[in-house]
Amino acid sequence: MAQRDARFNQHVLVDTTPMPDHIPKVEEIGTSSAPLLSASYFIGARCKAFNDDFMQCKQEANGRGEIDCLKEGRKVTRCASSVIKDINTHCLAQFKAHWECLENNNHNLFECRSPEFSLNKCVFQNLGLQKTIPGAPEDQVPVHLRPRQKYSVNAWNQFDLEQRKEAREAGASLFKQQEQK
Amino acid sequence: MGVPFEALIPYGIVIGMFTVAATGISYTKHFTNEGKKPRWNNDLWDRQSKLGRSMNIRFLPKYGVGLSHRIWANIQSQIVMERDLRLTGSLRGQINNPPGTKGIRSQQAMEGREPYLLGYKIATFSHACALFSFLSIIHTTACFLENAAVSYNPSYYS
Repeated sequence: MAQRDARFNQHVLVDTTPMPDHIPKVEEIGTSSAPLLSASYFIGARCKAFNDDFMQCKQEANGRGEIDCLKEGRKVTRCASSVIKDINTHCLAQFKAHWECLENNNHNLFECRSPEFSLNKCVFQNLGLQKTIPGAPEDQVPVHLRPRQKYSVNAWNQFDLEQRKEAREAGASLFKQQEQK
Repeated sequence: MGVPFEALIPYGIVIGMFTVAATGISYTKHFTNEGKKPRWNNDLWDRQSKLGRSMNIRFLPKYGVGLSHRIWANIQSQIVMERDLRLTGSLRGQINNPPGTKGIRSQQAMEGREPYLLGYKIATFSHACALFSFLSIIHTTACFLENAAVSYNPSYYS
């Protein structure tokens, strides 16, 4: 080719062409960033298989993943929106409290442990989904069950008395489970 | 005995100017962030494209009417907040609609809600800018930033 300089611009490119008709339409997740972050660990808990499947498909597709893995991608979207739908029907108040707290605190999870604790509790009771942090050291209490949040600006100790007691019990039962293993 | 009030006048002016500047900044900050605390130190997920943050952005015609293009790129580089902008009509907006609500396409600007929100905000912001932008370059920059957040051009996406 002749002398033609490559032109790059720093925009995020958005293709607004609608999908062709033979590809089934999926309803998009209608939530913005804060509710998504708030629900993320529960989405991970329920949809791990679908997500791993999608990532494996993309890895094996040799760069054609965007086209070849549409089916897996639809499953990922559907699973995530099912989680958000369930949280909305069962734990709307706790969910709202948590993501509003996140939005007001620079999306830092460590500033909002108290609403997070009640959300985790409600979701576990109603949906059976439990927050686990992947890759966290197993011999320590996970950070969302610790009463003292080291980096928090608002308050070091964010749990109230009842939550502190429950968190201690939850941490103790986790240790017991690991000892039995 | 007369009080030497003339000696105190400069102090009064200095303190007064500090007050005016602080009020102006907090006012503009309040309106850019819609009453929430400002976001800072966003992580990689919030600004996925590092390129968008670079300061060497050339002049890009046709893009963003009457805006500094650097500010446009800055907004676009914060990928997740930019998606919020497309969903709700403002960078700090949050929404928790159930999936399948009519009008939600995260790839496109929201149709029903935008003009009202934008109209409302443009009014407030121009008011704030007119009040405070003459004070200092910081105020002018703040106004620029919030204008960038506001004059989002939906025709670009749809």
